[in-house]
Amino acid sequence: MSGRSGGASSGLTWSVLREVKCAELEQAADGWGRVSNRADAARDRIEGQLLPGLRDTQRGEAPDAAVRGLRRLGMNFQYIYTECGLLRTTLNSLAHEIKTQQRVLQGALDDAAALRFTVHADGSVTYPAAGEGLVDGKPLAGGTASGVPNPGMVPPSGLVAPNPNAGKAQDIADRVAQAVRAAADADWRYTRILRSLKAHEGLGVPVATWTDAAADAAAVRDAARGYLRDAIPHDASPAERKAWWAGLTDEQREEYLAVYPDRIGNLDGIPALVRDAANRDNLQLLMGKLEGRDDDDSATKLAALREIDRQLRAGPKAGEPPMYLLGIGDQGNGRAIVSYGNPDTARNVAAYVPGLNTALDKEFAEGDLKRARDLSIASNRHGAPAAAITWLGYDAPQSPDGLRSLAVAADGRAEEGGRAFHEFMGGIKAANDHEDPHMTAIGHSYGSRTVGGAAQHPGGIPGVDEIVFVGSPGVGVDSADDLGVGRDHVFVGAAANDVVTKLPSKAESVLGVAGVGFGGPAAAYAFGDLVDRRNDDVWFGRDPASEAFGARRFEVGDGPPLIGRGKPTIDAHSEYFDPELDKASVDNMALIAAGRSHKIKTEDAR
Amino acid sequence: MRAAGGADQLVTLLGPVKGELDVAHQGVTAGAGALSALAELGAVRASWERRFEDARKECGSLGGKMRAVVRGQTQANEAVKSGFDGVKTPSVGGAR
Repeated sequence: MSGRSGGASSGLTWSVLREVKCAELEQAADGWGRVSNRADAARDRIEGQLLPGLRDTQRGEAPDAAVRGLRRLGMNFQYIYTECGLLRTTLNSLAHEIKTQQRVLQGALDDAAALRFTVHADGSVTYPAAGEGLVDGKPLAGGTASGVPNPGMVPPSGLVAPNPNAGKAQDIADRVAQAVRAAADADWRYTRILRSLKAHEGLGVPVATWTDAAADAAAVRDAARGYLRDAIPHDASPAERKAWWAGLTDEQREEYLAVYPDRIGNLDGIPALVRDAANRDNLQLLMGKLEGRDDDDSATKLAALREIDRQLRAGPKAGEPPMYLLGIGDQGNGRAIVSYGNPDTARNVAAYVPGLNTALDKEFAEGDLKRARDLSIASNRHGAPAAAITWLGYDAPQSPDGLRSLAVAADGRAEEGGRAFHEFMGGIKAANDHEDPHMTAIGHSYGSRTVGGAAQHPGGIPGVDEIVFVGSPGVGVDSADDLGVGRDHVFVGAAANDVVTKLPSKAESVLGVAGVGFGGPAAAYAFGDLVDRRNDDVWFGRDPASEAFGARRFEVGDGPPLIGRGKPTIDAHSEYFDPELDKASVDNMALIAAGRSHKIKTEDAR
Repeated sequence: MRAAGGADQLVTLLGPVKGELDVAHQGVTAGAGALSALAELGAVRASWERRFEDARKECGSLGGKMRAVVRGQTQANEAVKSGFDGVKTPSVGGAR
């Protein structure tokens, strides 16, 4: 091509561009898809059959070495699956971009042929004589136009060629030059991406490999925007998303999973098994990404992700329900949604929303997940299969200074979280195989305010039949009738010694229990505002355990007193889900989640 | 033994990888030279074929090791058994 075309450096000419066989690129992409699937199948077999088989039947040093070897292979296949999947999309996306430019080129060549212009090897276009000369009336001489790859960068000369063919030839030459230039640019970009997608040598999958893989996924995603066109229906309803997913071909699904594991994994309405598979991949990529950072926030989240990864790999112990990762993310305070039991096949599904001070940290990964696991185990003792979910899908308020922050916590987080929880439950309902699954929303602490927020949306929380509040500082409404399920389906557990479920008395304020954050002028000021309200009020409106609220209060343990053994403790706020410390509470919640609320042990309202 | 068999199945599962990639790239190999991305793709493919092959070998070696463990355990069991067989035990009532 001529120097003006700008494509000289790549050596790409329009005739070469025209001959690129995009179907062959797509065929190569399919090959990568196939081998990626083989790697996925190998990983599946290792993690789903071989490792559990070894765990159950063999003990000793040699089998342990076999377990280590298989684990390493499993990681290896996960890495191969991820990267080969990215390769497939990279090639498909390259083909897509080249085809687009081939269409532009072909349009220009067709126009040239129709006008009997000649397009030369360098992209210049020769046009014949035409028009009439002003002086002698003879046709104006023909000529040759050279293309400009970047129109607008060349200022118009001000001289208009009198031959009417000249303008048309210039337009054709420009389109040819632009197509070649754009194709060369794509070639350059994709060459770089391909270079980064080479396999690391050896069999190990060190952390740095996942850090690289995370960067690869981001690069491919960025490049493939035009190809995959991000058709993920983020703004659709969960039911519409379910239908969208069902309508994709296997190949399309595989590509979405390879390129957008984070989006698909966190998309409400997508089947749980698909979300789980996507999130397990995304978990590796997220860990890789956070490994590459050295700030405290990343370290905290990384510890949580590692613990979740450990639990996923360890698999369920005998009698425990399997674990499904329905959501994971590092935005804000972090996100994690874990189900114990398959929420699509379970007849009974309960989701627990944690509250104050919950964030994606190690404590969450151990303690909060255990809450859903224990609840699932207890619920599954009653009839139909049950799943229980820990839902950290929002930024719960953090209170480094104890309850003082609760006093001044705004409703904003709960409203925002409520919207997200509302949508999540819509997804659970849409994806569930049963016509009318029995669904329960459980809010603990500030999480009950979040559930209350979710219930305020028109129609209440989708699919939810029962609402449970434990350790609630108020739910944002004054009556159990205002939650969309009827007062008989609203349940409250409030431990006698749980200070979060009551306003502190004047005496407690005066005591200045600094350790749990009651002290200080700010608190006194906040309490002053609160104490002036109705006597059955708590932090966020009326106490849901009060007579006036109208919910069914169920029996829970008292919990240790605030000032019992010398130093202040608010443990009474944190025992509702612990089958060891508060069996009555767990048993009652399990009965409600299993649709057997007529069997719960009740307690008088406050 | 099941796990050892499973590792062997992985070897079979991964067997066709190189052939599949060969077939899939026939067209682009023939048309190479047009795009620099295609030249790069050759090196990429070679790197993944190596990785697949290493993994496949590892599956085979793991299967072999697991079989050896099982054999070792069986032999040990038999050794223990034959050791006991050699011990003359007063038989009461014949049977045991």
